[in-house]
Amino acid sequence: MTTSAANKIETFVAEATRAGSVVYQAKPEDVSTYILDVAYKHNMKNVVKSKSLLANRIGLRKSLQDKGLEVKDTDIGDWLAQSKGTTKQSSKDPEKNIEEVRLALRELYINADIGISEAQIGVAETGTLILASNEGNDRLTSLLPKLHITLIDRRNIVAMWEEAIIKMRELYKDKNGWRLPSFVTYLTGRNTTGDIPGAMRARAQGPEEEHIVIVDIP
Amino acid sequence: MSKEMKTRVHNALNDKNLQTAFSRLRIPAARPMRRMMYAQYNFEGLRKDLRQVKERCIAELPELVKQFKAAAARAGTVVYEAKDAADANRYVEEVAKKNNVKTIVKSKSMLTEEIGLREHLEENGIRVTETDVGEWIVQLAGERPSHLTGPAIHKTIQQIAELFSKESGQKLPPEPQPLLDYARNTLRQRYIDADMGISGVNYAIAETGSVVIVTNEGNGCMSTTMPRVYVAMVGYEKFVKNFEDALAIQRLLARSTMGMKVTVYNSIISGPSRTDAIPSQSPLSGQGPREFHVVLVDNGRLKMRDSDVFREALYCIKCGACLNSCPVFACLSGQTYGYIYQGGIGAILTAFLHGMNEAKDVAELCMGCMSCKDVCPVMIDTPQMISRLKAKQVEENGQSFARKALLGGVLKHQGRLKTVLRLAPYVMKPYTDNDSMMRKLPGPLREVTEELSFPALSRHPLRDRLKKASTAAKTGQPKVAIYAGCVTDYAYPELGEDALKILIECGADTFFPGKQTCCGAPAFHSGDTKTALSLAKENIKALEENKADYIVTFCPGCAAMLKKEYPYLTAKEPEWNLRAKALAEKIRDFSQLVLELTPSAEKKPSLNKKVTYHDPCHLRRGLGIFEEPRKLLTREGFEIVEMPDADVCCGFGGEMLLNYPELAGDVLDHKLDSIVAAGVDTVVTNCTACVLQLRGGLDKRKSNIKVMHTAELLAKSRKESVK
Repeated sequence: MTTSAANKIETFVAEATRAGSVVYQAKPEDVSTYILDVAYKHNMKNVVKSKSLLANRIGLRKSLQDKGLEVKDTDIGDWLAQSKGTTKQSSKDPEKNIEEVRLALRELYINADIGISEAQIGVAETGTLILASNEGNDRLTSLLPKLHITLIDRRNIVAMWEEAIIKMRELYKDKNGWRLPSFVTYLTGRNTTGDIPGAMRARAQGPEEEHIVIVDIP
Repeated sequence: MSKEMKTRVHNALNDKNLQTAFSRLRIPAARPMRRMMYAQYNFEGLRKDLRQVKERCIAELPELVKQFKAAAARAGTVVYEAKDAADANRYVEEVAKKNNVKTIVKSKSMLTEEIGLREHLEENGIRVTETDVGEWIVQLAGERPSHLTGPAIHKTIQQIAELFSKESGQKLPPEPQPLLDYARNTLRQRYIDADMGISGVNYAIAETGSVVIVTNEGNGCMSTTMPRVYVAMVGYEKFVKNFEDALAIQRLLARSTMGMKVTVYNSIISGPSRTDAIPSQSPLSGQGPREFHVVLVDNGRLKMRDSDVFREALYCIKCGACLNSCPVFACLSGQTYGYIYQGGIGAILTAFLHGMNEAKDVAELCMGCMSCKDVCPVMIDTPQMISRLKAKQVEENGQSFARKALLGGVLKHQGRLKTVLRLAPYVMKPYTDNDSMMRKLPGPLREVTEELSFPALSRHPLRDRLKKASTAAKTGQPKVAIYAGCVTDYAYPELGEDALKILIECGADTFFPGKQTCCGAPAFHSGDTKTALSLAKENIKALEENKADYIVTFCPGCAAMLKKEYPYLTAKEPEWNLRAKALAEKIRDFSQLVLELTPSAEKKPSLNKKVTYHDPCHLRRGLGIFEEPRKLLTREGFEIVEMPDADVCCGFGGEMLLNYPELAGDVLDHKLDSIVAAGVDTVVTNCTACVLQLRGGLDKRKSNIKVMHTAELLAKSRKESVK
């Protein structure tokens, strides 16, 4: 690894930590151990997870489930695949089916202890994670559970925002230039508020803790 | 100034809760901390970039709106351009009715406050919950936001506990986390139950048809994603072309609001929720809103865009930095201003969004101290817009009778002004104490002397004393014309004599152009440009006498007027304009000139004397001079102990002292506290008006701290060294 790449990660970790996130750097095989530690420490069991190629690649769902966590996918396609056989499509109207799935998922978010997402891009200069989805599930996964964990492939961390924009333009290219997913969130640190005197760092409306796992894929 | 405003100001100053809550804005460390934060990054460079971005985007607005609409249409977003405020409200109501909406969650939006959207929906039987905790607090209190970014900043934690206890029906303790837990749990259920979400936006990005909402709490993300219908309310000033432009805002918005690099959440919505998980003919909605509406609202903005002078108010990114730095705002609260937008920028926005008449009172709450301009991330010159706004009002409605008499009748005519000022010492004699201070004046001035004492005017103004001092030009010597200004001339002529001695010591050939008169600032800042122009011409003529190399001033208020506003006032008369610009080149502040005349003077041995220095607004921010006076004092052997908030206004600015003596007194009080905090017995400044104000205030406090103009201090130290 070059020095500038190492500096970039160092900056990312420093900035994210300063903004209130807990940052952990992991080898692929350590990711589930870290998440399990967090879950055990808080006595938590219910996990919702939005779409993550990185999680698929390292077999995260299985390793968490094997250790006794309940892991539900929140992407509608993934959820349908996961719950095949356990739910039936009650109607021929796709709109109605989606509405049923939506309500079922909504219950899952509300009762979840931990939400797991993957960030497409990390921005070192501010310690920011960029989450995206068309369904909106990424946002709900990151906001409604008590605790939120974001995975990011170390190689997807860029130094500056200018690079992040270039990267987004490439990721979401389409025939008219580019089209962003309907919901994109820049997430930096843990939620706070200044609206109640004396508690600038108090938890506001989002999760109690924000964890970031930087995964170093060889 | 209206009676209503005077009452509101009085009530705010005497509201114990408000003053306790607002002390948060006045922590002496807050300003130096902010300044340190600015020093950590290239603030000047970034704000120049952002200024350019906003200038370009407002210029290209029609093109950006077109682009936005095209991208939005591709994504399935519905864009509605409302004809006016009422039409915007009607449209949102229609969307709600069509979707059978019973409850709405709403994320902070000043635009909806402006057009009364929440009230409109509530009148139609829909329950609307504000989801920003601060905004929810003011909703529960039945009030309006008191600050652009801190809507409930005027509430103490006890008041918040009471409001939440009442809402919940159980007693909640006045502690941050339990109160926040209650707010989170309650609001969470409201998101879950809501049929529709409404938000304002921080900016809208044309290239992708996106709206962006920034929050730290997470409410922006939730109220825009959880309900099945989402409506974004967008003012036309919010458009930027692309993500690079948006980045220019992003880099400064959170920093200017609260010193964070970015907010915790930037929520970007670029279309309704979609999924392709189930095969279908038409696109299926996912887990968020199936409908996404963007309502574009004008409400006076496009008219503002057409104005050369006021267009820059549209560049405002609503960060609130100006409010946090405003010494007047720190004494009041946003609600005192009476409309939606507060502070200096609020006056301009109020004028265009609500009406000129409504803005009049708000404009008069500005002291012209320019601290807002100093911290603005878009370099908006609010104080200048306010003086143009006042001029516009005077042009349209004329001056009040009393002002007309004072400004047009006396100030405008050198002879009459002289007569009045010369008679004053005799007329005021009965009110003058033995030490030449007036502590209790009659009639309309009674209120003013409750806040500070005044110096008696001298029977021998500087113009009389310097007649003899006028010397013939000797070759090689720099010729320095004295511009005394009214305060030095009539109240502190000794100060002028002191300055003269120092300048002569510096090798200057000094003289007093006898036909000089008031610089016109009082008229100019109250909107009477006619009187100001006529005074400008008299002074230009007077100061051209003898072809001076320099014109020295002791009052930066006068200096800024001569240097910056004379060229503006004469802009339509080319010949006068040339003369005004030539004059401007020669204007020097006293300490600036001393340094310029003696650049190689050596540092004097230490006098073992500690002083603190107060930065006059017009010197520091008007003319950018703050190092020179400190350099001069150090060179003269003084040790400077910096007070906290050295550059905060003393309260003399604008017409505050006459219109709102109680408020000016409060601003002065904060300044005096800073001076006392320095812990030394002498405060030095470079402005005769500040000297007058500070002396008057310290006299009321019966303090032993001495206030001296740099010229006086230098003269005194010479006298003492002779002894």
